[in-house]
Amino acid sequence: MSDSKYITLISYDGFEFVVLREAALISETIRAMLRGPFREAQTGRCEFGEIRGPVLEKVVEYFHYHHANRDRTDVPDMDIPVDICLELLMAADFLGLDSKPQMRDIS
Amino acid sequence: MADEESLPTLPKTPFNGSGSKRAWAQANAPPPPSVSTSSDPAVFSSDDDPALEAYESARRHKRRYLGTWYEQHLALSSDSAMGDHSSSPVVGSSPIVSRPLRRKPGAKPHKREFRKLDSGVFMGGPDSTDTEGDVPSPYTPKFFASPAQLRVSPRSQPQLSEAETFARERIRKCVEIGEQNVDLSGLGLNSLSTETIAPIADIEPIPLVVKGVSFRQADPDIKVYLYNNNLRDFPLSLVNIEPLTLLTLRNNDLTEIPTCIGKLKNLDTLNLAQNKLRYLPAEILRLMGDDGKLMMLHTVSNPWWMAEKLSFQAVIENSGPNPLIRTPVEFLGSNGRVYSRFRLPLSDEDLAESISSLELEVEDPSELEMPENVSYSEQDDHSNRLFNPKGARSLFEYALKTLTRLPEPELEEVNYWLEVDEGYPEGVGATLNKAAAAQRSGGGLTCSVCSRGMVIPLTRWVEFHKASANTKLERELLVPFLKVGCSWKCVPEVEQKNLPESN
Repeated sequence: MSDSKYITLISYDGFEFVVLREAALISETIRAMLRGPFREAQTGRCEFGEIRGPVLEKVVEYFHYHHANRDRTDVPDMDIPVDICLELLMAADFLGLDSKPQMRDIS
Repeated sequence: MADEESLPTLPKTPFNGSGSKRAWAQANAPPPPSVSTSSDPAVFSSDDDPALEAYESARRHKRRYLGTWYEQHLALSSDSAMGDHSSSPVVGSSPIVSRPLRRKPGAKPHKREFRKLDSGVFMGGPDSTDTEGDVPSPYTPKFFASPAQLRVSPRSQPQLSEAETFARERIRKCVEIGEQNVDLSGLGLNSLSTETIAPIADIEPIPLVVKGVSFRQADPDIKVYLYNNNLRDFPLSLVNIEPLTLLTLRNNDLTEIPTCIGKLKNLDTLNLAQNKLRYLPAEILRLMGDDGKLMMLHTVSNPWWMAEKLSFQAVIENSGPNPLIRTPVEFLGSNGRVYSRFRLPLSDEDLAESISSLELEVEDPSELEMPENVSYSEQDDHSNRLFNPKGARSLFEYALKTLTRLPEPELEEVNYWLEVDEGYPEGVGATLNKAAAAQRSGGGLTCSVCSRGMVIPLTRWVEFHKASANTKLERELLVPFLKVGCSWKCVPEVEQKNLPESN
């Protein structure tokens, strides 16, 4: 298991982003990838086959922005270019960066 | 060119020597107009057509604007319309000029001349089909195609109604003489535009100069009377008139008061009687509290939400000063899905659908029902925006917020995409529409608990408050106020917050 402080996120067009592990863990999806018995957990490299480089870059920016502002109450809005807005909506949904609860399994 | 006009109507034979091109044009074009000899579509249709050279020698006059066509190819290509067939170079000049302006950035002077001579240039080539207005093809969203396109919005100015022209004139007079009581009552106004209202903010009182009293510039104290009109929407620009102290909207057709009314900090009297209001925004409560100066609020004769369900008994029992009766809290996700058992029946469908069958559900003020089956861990406390009002908002919300600021035509297009493409999360289109509506009606929502701005409410509930002390009808004592929260922790205060247990 990789214990590095950083993990690598890879976009489908091959861009690699090295992110602080702690910052990236706010994403449920990434958390699951790194905690589970998956290859990602060993290598610390997460590939996203659906996210383009520029979009993943914004996501990474958000990770650090969120991390830096986590205890502040007056957080300035993050700037998002209109042209990647829709893709970001999808990526945010996929990565669990929206405000949605995890449903507990009812068995 | 001039002699072409007198030529007999063109050929009965499908071919007239220019070969297959004409055949193509006739096969494809809608009924070929009789005078369009020289605007043979194929001539301009495709620049990579090998026949281009032949065309150059065959038609002398077309050579002149060949260059122009290349230059403007981009600007023109999306605008072509089949209707252009009909304008021939000869009779062309007047109909073309009188046509409504197309949206075209950077029109150059020489283009006009070019258009006069031949309009066939708009035709597109044999392979091109004009799809504007049709279903856009996937993966090429037009709305961010070019910044130049975004800037042009071919929207015509709405015609001013007679009543509004009159109102505008009256406001102008008030500004002129420094009259602070703007009386626009009984004019039959349906709507009021920003242009009409904005000058009210410029009204400056003319100070009274009396002998022996030192001169003092009086603070403006503007009163706007809009009673007995037919306003259906709250005139949003009213909230920008900071010194407004009295606003009466009695006897209109208002159905909703926007949250931005909270900006009117100097408001002293607000008359909303005899409208079609279902509920009021929590901002008005704030104005009545420490945040504003609102002393008089008239609310009688509105079809208040659940008013008839409030038992008389409850009203009497809860006549204290504090929050009295409230519904359970509705918990939502950012996609607009409701996670709690309780659903606030506030939407239009709910209201239209047999209002009498709805039950008013009231929760004990000391209790709070949280959604079941939602897993919750300590970690969520920090990472999940849902449970953490502090820190940055969710990425989803930021993206949504950017979208709500788009001008309406682009917003419609975005909506179309959200609907058509199955890749987008469910319900996001509806959420976006709601958020955009809130944005339009005065700068988005504010959390009723922590006062932070937000795009989408994650909790909603209704509280019934005493709105006016001086009404004579007991029933009218309590008015529903809609409260919204920006996270699942922004909920009414209860003795102990029982969030879902960790698991």
